[in-house]
Amino acid sequence: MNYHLKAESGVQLLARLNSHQSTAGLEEHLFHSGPEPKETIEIKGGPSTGKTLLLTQFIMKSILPPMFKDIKLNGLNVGVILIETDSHFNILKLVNLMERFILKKSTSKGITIEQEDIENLIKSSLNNLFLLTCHSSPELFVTFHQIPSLLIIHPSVSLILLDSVAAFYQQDVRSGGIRKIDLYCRKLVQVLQKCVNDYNVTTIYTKPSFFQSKSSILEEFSVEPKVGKINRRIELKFHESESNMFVATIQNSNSSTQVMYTINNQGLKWIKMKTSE
Amino acid sequence: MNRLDSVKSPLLSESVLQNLFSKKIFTVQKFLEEKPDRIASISSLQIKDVITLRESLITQFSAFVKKGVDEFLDLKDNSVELESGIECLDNLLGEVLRTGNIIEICGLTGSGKTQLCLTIGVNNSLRRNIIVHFIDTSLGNFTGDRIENILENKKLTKETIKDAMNRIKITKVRTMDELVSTLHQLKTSLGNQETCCRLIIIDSLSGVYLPMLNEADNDGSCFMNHIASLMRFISKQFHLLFLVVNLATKVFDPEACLEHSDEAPVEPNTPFKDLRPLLGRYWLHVPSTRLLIHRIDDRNLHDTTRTISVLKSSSIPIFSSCSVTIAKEGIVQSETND
Repeated sequence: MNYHLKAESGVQLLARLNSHQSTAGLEEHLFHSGPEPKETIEIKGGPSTGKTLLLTQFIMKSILPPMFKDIKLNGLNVGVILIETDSHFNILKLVNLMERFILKKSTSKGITIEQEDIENLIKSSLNNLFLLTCHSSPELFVTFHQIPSLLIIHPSVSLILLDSVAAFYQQDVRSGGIRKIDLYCRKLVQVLQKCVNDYNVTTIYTKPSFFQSKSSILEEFSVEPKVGKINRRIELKFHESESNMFVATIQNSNSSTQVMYTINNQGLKWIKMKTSE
Repeated sequence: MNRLDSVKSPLLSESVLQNLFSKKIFTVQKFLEEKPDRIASISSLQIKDVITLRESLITQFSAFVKKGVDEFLDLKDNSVELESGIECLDNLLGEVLRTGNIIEICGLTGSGKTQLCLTIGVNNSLRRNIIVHFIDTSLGNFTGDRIENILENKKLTKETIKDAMNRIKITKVRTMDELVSTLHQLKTSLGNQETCCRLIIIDSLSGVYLPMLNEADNDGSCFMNHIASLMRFISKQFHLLFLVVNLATKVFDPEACLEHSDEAPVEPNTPFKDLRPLLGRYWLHVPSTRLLIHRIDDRNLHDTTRTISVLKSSSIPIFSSCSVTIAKEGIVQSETND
């Protein structure tokens, strides 16, 4: 007889018991049925291509409940931790998007809801959002280590967002940090991944388009979630010929998809899909 | 970097520190990245103490957790929406001039960047009764004179002019180092006083950035990073708005520019593809909104009309614009505007 005992640490046990809900259905235009738990996703793009806005939309989708008074909101009702370094995220923008979204959903169903109800719904949803604002690189790294305990206290959290990885790079280089941008970025994400590895959470981070080494080799995407690897990249760009039109390229280990979108006061609006191998 | 020392925790005794240092664990960050059992074996601390130590270091040095709902209520109560005082620009910008943001005004030389800043500063001092800090990097005393000039041309009483002037504080800054220390001073003084400062104008950031680029040990980007972090902190902490002036240059050969690694890339197929804001690629992502002020006709130097276009924003469609005129009383809405 071969006795094979699988030991798990107390943290792993707690994580399993508290199993964080999946973030499947976060944005079907980008992920289809995913993202899978424990995935790491990179969002890359130039200024004004909507990186932070996309994150704001992810937060809205995550923290809203699936239903509210017979209105289908399709929210995931999970918690979100947002680590902010760029301070571009604006909570008033989030609230504004949520208001517009709820109103749109309710009018399309022909139901009128009181302003007060909307406000209460938004406030209770915002209880599921945890903000960590970092002003220096040492603070950021210590903050990563705080996340495990936050995840234990708040088992509803399923999504970790970091906006963005580039905020302290120049200062870090000056104080003797890693100079090669790709390596810097990988190391930083790796520390975060190690901290959340025991938990069923999805990690998404943003990266400005300039933030890559000159001799950048295209990184391979890992199929399985793995520390030090990313599973998906969403690249946001201006459309080459049409103005006020953008293209998102979603890459993972086996496919590359393109989605066009525009940006208006309701956020990013997806238009059509083209699939290419 | 946070070096480990006995001040951070009583558990970090001299011998424990020595053991950790001998294994090259010098900083809090490095300490947290190691597994607790490894730390215990290196430092000869008990595992229980290592865990306590980890927790105390995390609470001391990590960011404060804020619930989304608290942040929302805080902003709702404390943040203020400022105005430019120029009707068409306010209509265009909507809620963009809200405190907690960094806004950039860029343009070619002589396009009216300073005029726009002065107008916004004066209008807010007049209408909102707020303190405006004007950090001036130019030579000479033009700024103060022009502020007085704008106010006098608005046909106000002497008393009002005096009050408004009193609320605008001008600081002269010559170098990047002086700018950094001015911001640090503001960080301390804003925390101490009750006076309500809601607007800080830096005219111009490129003025102190460019001279640095020729220095042998070029650390322009590091300073920009430092200044950006400081500005973000101040704008959020004290609920105020930063208005930063940046120079733009005309690109004659976009391909030659790509050779320079730290310059902003030019987006193809956009209306202002031959214009490029300075201050490097890092800065490009820092302001939440970027406005471009430019002449409609480059050759007519006596033309006082200007167009203000949005180059970067998360809430207004980019490249939307409005038309203004530079007049004696500052920048006003163009009359032809409908």
